Amino acid sequence: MIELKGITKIYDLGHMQITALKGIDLEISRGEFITIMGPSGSGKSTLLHILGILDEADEGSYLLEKNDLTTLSDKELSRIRNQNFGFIFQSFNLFNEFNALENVMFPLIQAGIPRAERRERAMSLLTTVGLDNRVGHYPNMLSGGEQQRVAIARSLAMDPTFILADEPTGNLPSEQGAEILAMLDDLNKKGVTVIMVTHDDKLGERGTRAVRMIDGEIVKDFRRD
Amino acid sequence: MTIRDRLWMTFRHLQVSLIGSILVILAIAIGVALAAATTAFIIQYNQQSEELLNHPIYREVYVEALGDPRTETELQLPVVEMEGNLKDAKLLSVTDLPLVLQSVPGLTHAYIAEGIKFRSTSYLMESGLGEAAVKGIAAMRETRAAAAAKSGVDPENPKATGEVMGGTKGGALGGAPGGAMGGETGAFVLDLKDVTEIPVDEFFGIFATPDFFTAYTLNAASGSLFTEEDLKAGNQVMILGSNLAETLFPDGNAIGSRISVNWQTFTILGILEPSDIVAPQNGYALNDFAFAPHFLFAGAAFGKNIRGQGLPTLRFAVEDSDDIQQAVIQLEEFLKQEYPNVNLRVTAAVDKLETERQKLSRILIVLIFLTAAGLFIAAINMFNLLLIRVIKQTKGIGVLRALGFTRDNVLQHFLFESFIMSLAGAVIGLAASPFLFRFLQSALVSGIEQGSSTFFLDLLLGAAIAFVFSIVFGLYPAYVARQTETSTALRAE
Repeated sequence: MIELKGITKIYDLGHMQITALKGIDLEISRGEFITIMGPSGSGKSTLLHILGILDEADEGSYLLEKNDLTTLSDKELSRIRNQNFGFIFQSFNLFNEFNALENVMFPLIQAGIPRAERRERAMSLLTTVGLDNRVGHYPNMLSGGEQQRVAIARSLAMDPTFILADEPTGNLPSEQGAEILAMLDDLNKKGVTVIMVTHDDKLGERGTRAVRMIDGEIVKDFRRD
Repeated sequence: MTIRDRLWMTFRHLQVSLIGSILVILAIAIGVALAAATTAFIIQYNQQSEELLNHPIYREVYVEALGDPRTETELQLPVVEMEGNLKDAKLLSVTDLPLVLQSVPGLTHAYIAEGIKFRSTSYLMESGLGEAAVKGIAAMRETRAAAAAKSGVDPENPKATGEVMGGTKGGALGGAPGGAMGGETGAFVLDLKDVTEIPVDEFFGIFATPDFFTAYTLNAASGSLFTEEDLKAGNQVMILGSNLAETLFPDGNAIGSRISVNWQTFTILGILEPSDIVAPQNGYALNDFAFAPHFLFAGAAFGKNIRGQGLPTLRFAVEDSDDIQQAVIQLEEFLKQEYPNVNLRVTAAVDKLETERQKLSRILIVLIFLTAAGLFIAAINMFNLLLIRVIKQTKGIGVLRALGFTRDNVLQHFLFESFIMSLAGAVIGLAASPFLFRFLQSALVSGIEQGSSTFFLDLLLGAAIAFVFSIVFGLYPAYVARQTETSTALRAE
């Protein structure tokens, strides 16, 4: 479970300061599928980065499974990120010099998983996302949808509790986007907590909960039962 | 993360900008090669020139006549007093050698050592040089007969062995009269009976006096060295350096054999122990030389020498290299008193070495500067490449962080890249450095030996300096990567 209390994030641009998040309070339970919506600049990506411990809040507290993360070292935070969070980005963010299999293995390398085991696990994940015949392909040899599926496989490598997806269909044609969303639904059904950021209101209709943000504040938090 | 994983990631990243990586590695290799070779060269040169100070060659003090000895009578120095138009010239005599030793307390050895190239007589005959030589020898014999008539010494039989001393320095024949000549005066017949045919056409030699062996600490390994008596009697004997003995007599029967060189025959009297001394004149080891008694003394035995020109150099040596400068001053004072009108120059061989060292040290300073500049350029290139790579991989850094890599992992990753490039450059540079060392050796100074026990340590020292230098320049880009904010990096285009 994640508990954010009074999270404030201010960007100092030198000549001016921008408050990206204004005292956000948010609780996320296991098994939820949350869509965070809002216009550009509303702070939804910043919130996602803070949730994924990619960024630090200037104020407020972050409890993960009742543990306060604000006091932990970079090494400890990195380990938590590696083991609890999987990330999916709009532009896929695969490493172009590594093939699909190798990209999926990256989180496993960092976790110190033995070579044979991580290879086996990566193969299995790529099979799950339907890319077992493309394991040796480099990102530039794959379509956008396939790249995103590799990214999903990579995000699942460490069997995380949370999947954080930042506009995962933003760069994809609608058909491929639908496939990715279906995969996220499927993951959520298997118990993975999915937090998806989107500016597309239609996508906000998915999942179990919709959060709307404007100007760094949560203006709506709607749960579907 | 294991070293293997780290290597795997690094090589993949290096492949992305392959040409840039190769250029950086080559630049580092050049810098390392230069640094290693220069370091090794400087250390070896300093060590060896320090050792040289105690080397017999550099304990030597020599007296030379200034100017051209063929045109200026006063420069006919030193030579046995002569007849004819040189009668009034004030000349040093070979008999001055012991006199100088007595008068100049700092000096412990006095000798003559004059280089010559010995050519096999059969080679000279085959080369068509025989006729001229025979004529020259016949003419010499007449001159010598005339001198002998005045002094009452039989020129054909000045000593028990029946061989005749004589000789000229260098020259086209490099040869001399004498040898086993038969028949009447003027009718020269070369007797090659019982002479061993040598397997080489020519070799280096030194006409010396016995003290030369003492000064150069040369000892006989077999047979014996020639003596004052051999010198005075003009005995045609020869001492062989260890290598030369093996070359001339592969079967080992050198002692007592007779060989014919430069129209003379010599009996091999002894073979020297191997020596590490190198002749400063031509860089050849004394092990490859032959040594024969200097003919001037034999001439003295006849009363007057048949030679018409002087010997340019008298040599002296001190026991302790620290005494050299004092000995030079004493010798100058002695010569000024004894021969006030003769234009002489006294030189310590070590001064020549010192001058060479100073000249070389200026070149080495330039070389060090160039090495430093080369290394600096290589390091700047690597710095630049790594920094650009960090900037280009900003998003990648963000992704690595998102996947659980720590800041220190990111720093290590980029540092490892610079380490690998520096290591590759260092290995290539180190492999190339012995060749560069040889180039420096041939271009700057001879006699600096590669392959002494410290050579590879010296190379490693140079390489280590360059390697560390390269690594240091890789630190900042790696630090920039480490400090990259993850969320900012992920937003980068």
